[in-house]
Amino acid sequence: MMRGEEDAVRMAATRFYDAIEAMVSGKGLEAMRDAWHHTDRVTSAHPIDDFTEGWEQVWATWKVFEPFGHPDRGGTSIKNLRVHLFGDVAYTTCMFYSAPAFGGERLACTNVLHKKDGVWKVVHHHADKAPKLAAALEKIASEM
Amino acid sequence: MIDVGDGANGFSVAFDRMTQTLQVAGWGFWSSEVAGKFAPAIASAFAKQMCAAVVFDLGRLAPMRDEGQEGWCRSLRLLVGRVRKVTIATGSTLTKLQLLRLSKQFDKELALQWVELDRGGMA
Repeated sequence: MMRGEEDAVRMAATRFYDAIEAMVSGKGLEAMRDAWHHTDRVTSAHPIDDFTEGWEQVWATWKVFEPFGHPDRGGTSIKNLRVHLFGDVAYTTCMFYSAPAFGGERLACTNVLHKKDGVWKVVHHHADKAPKLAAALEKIASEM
Repeated sequence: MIDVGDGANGFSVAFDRMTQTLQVAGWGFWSSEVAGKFAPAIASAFAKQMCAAVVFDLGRLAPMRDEGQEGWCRSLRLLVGRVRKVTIATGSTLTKLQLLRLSKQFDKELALQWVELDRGGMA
């Protein structure tokens, strides 16, 4: 039972990082929307800026990134995804590698997931701060 | 002075007669209601006085939902042909990225000056 739940958490976390790759590759945010529970009790801390709280505000931050996606800008990856399970709550840790177009940085990331209505989804995401990412985004924004 | 919203999310619009500058401050994560009142408030301020410049103090403004983005674009459109100088101060990189993208369409018509603040906005 435990191994089955750990695998379910791993798949949910992987879907989250697949959604980031889809976003930076210009495929939109539908996968990212699906990766999260949509409640007031979700939080996020991107590689730039502070914590945001509540699904509407978290979603607004993801939509800031969306226009920067492009088929030539993909190339994210993760390594060492670890799952830590506590009943219907779990957290994952991994190293995330941002795409070269966005600074190519190596960031330690933590996600918290909650099993609600039988489905594991993200309720918190936290990434190391990434100055090169911010600089890359500003450069792209100035050239848009 | 126009005040909309509350301490958690809102904006204010005031006119500085000494400098003939419209001072606009925005903060928090705008609700749909607050966002919908932004452009009309800017329009109302312009209806009352001539402005030489506009300063947007958005140091505490969070990235906006769709309604806020629409309100921002509508307010910039109101400034075209009416002011010489527009200063936009931000404290959040994500907010700045959002506003940069939205404001790009007005690059030729408005002289936008961007200022980065430490968190908390202007005193």
